[in-house]
Amino acid sequence: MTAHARQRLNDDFSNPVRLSLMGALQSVEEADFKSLKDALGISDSVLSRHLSALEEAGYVQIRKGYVGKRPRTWAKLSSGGKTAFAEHVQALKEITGIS
Amino acid sequence: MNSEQPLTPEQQLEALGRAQADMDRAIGYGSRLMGWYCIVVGLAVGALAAVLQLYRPDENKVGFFIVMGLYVLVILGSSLAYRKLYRSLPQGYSKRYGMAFGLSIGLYAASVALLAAQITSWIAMLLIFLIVAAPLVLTGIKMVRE
Repeated sequence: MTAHARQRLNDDFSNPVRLSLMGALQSVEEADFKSLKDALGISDSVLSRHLSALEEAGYVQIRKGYVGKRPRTWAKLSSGGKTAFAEHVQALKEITGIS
Repeated sequence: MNSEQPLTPEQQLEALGRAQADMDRAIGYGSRLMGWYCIVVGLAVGALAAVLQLYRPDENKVGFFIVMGLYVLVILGSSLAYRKLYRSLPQGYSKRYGMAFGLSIGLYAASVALLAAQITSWIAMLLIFLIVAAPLVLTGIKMVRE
């Protein structure tokens, strides 16, 4: 027997910033810090905090590198993150009657 | 996005749609830039492949090495430019670019092998230019139009 959609909601994504971050990362291969910040309209510190939390939970992979001499940070969904988020979105759709 | 209060399922779906639309807008410019970059690199590699036919190493060593040197510069320059351009790309873009780039490089190598055939007709050279440039140019046009 499958659990009710409400039980399949992932509490890690109930926070609006984390939900938007996961949604934004879902549509790209990888995104750099600035693109995410611009797209979501949040501050460096808020983005940094939530990205770290998602990385710690294993949903997001962070890569640091340099372009020229400038440091740059990229983030992408891990395979576990993709699956977990897809399940969360599916549960949301079932609850709201979209699918 | 100031509120960090948990959202209802309806609000979550709404916020998700908004975030994805915002992200699409944020990466749109980068995607088009990437497309133009593909077109320019494709045209440069295609032109070099065609010009190379005029400089066979047994007839004009200096010309041959200049064209090959320019080719190496284009490849190195494009790799550096790609690293700078690569901020955020839609799903599948880097794979598409990698495939088109590899194909154009392979076709350039084939054009080097064609030197032995001593092609000098302008139509044949134009054809070499078009064939070598095609993978990157077509990929670029598709990226720009998307």
